[in-house]
Amino acid sequence: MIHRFKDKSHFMKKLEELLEEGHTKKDMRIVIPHPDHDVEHLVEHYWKPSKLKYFTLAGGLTGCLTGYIFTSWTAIDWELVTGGKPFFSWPAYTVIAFELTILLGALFSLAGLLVMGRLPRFSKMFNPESYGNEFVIILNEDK
Amino acid sequence: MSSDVKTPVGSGNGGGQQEFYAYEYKEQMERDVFAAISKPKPIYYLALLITISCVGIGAVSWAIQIANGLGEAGLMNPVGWGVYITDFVFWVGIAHSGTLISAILFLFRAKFRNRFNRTAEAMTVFAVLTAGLFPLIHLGRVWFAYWLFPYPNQRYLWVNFKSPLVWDVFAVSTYLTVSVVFWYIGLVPDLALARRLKTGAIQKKIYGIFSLGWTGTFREWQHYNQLYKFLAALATPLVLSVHSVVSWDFAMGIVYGWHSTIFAPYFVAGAIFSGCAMVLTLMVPMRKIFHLEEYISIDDFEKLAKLLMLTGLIVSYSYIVELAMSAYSGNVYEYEQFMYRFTGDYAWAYWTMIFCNVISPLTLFIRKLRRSVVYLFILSIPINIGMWFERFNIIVISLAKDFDPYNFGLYSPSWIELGITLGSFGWFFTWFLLFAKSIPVLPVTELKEEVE
Amino acid sequence: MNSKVIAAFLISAVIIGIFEFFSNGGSLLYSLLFFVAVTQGPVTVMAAADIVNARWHIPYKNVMFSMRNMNLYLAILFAVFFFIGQSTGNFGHIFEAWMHDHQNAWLNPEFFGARNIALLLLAWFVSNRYANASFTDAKNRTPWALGWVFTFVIGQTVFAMDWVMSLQYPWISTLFGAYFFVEAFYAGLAFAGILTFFKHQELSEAYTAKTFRKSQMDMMTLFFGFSVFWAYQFFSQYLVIWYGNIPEEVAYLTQRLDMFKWMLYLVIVILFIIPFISLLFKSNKANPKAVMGIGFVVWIGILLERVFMLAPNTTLNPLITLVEFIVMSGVFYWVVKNQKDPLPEPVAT
Repeated sequence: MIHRFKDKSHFMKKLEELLEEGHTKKDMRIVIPHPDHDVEHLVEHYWKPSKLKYFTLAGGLTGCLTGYIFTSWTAIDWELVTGGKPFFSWPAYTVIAFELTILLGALFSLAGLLVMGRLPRFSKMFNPESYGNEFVIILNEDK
Repeated sequence: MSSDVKTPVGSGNGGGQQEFYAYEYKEQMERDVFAAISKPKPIYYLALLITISCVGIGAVSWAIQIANGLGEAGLMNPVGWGVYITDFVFWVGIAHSGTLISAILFLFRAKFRNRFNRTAEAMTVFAVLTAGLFPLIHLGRVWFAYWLFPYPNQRYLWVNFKSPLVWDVFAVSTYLTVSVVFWYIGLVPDLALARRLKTGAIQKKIYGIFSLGWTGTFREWQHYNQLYKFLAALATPLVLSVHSVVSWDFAMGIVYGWHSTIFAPYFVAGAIFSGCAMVLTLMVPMRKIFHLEEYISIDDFEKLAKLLMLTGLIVSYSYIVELAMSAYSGNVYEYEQFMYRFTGDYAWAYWTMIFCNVISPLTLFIRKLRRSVVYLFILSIPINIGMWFERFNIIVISLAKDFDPYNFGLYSPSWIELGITLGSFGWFFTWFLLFAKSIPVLPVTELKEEVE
Repeated sequence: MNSKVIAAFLISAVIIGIFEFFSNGGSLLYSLLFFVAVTQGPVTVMAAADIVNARWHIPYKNVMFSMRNMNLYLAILFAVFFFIGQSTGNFGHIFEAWMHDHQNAWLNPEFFGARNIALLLLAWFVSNRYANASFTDAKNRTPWALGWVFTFVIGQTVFAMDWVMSLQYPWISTLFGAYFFVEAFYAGLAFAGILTFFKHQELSEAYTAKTFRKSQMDMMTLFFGFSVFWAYQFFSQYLVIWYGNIPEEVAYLTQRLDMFKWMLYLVIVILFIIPFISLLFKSNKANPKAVMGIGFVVWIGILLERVFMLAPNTTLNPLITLVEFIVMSGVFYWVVKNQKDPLPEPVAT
């Protein structure tokens, strides 16, 4: 059964009703045309929030450690004195570690979206069913 | 948010009539924005022809340089860095404003950012693509560019991680990657829209592939929103750090005029300054040509103008502090360097910069001028010229007269260098023109969120 | 500003003046360096929000403007520092780097004293005018906010150059002025954190708990952002000086690192690591006790950093410094407590 709404207030009312009834991710699919704060707050009250932040944290930490460890290791792998600076020059390596923290943080987060959001979705790439600017709730769909 | 757009007010509790208006508005917005990326008129093809010709000139110049060697450029002792590095810093600087608008203003919840962020992010990506060419051009022997990256090799050599040039490699690569990811993620829902709205079969397929099969389910939006927030939070320190690393290419040296602790925030402010000017240069005509006046108001442009004023003042402050310190310190080399900038061989470049960067933005204190899009467009041109000259001055004037009088020397760019500079502008505008006709220039999905 | 406060200013100035006769001169400079940041920073936070026509900062206006009259007190104390220093010869001793051989149009005692006192008086004047415009939501509050920002930037830059950089003449760091005003802004945000705890009850009642909590979250997010920004400024300065390794420039660092290297690391931990990690969590940002703690930690960090800046060039007599600092803190507390400012209405968003 598909409920389609052109306006948000009716959609929110129906959604709250269905969530109260205890529908879960497994038997209810919600499609909205644009991100919406109110919808997100409401649904996350009943369903769990996103775990993407753990991906970001993992990426950030990996980047930071790689930055320091890799740069320091290469300095002592072949001990060349450059610019009269010590082998483990933490100010210089901080710059590299910082950039890598951001790079890997961003890439791991992207991976998080792709993995958890099940993207790219090849079945929906060409001519998927489209609801335009309507807010839609689909119940009891065959998975 | 005050705006001259008839934005329906309603938070979901209104009557059916009001909410219906929101739906209509969203449909109309889709139509307007996608009308802009329909079949181009002949003048578009003319513009594209011009920019591609510029790219051609640049490519031919580069080919000549590769064939004959780096001597084709005007670089000599003592000025070993010239127009190429100026162009590099110029384009990287322009890129930063886009990320400020999309990421930093997003975190500050400044609504006006939604009018500009798609175009600004596109500008960022293309500017970094342009900037990234210059280290390659400046290498001379481009085919050895891979030596810049750390990889295990037979001679057991690693790159010198203590060198600011290597920091640059990491910083600019990170910036390119993160900007592309941020821009692309923002685009995905709009590409899904394009998949729905476009009628050509091949177009539908292409948009379909790039939309990653996005359908807008709650699960997708949930993770997407988190990702967007985190990317904005990660991109924010990137705006500060990447141009700081670029400034440290100079500040880590001991040349007077270069070795200055204020370089990092000074360059970042200058980057945002020139980037905002470029956003104005791009968006004022685009708004007119695509008939998007309803969606981008004068208030939005005024806010951008205020950002321009703020960063212009920071740049002026930096100029004053540097001059003051050079006089205060009693250091003869530092003092002579700054006197040379005022009165020496390149004084014309210095005073152009002062006029364009310090004097001209002061006119924005006049409210009428701030709110005139024509004036903002006109002002953006000298600002960009002034910022180009700022980098030219820092690089060339400091190198021309440093420590040893026997080593003083002048520099003038060769035709090859100027050709490549022209080519870089062509390259940037070509990408931008292609973007303007294939991807919605306003972030429709984000604007729809505002309507509710 | 009532007569109680003026009396406090004058009496404490006399007490401090007496102590100054027995000190070597660095003690009052130390306290001045801390209080100039804490006095001018909070007003700048409000100015920044007013210039962009923000609304979230309105609940904080009552507290963040409350110390603006300290600027007058600082002007009085600077005069005490200057005149007593001149008469005991301490002033010349502290600033001997330029006093004996390198006096010029900028660096001479008369102009030095005059410009610093003038800038502090100007700050007092402008902050009061701006505060009045801001409380009444007047049309000209944005121009006055801008005027304050100019006063602040120029003032802090000159204080940085005169009070710290000239001690080590001819050492220069072009970032030093900017570093000072960023630290002052940071100290202002710390002040917001501290007063969130003490005024939590009162402000939650005046503005509704929900509105104040939203305001608090925004302020603490800004606080978080500035911990990163401070670290960025600190690192920029350190990196350029360390890397260039030019004798006339690096002496600033080597002198201090030889004396107390541990202090540098401690300062980084206190002013960056602790606030950054604590303020990452939403639960901490929302907790008034936590933000008060973090605010005090940041103030302690700034105090420690002033020691790092001043110690090689001045002798800080511990007892006299402590007494003067306590007297000034007492006056600061007295000023903040006795300031009767309105509670402006939050405009409906």
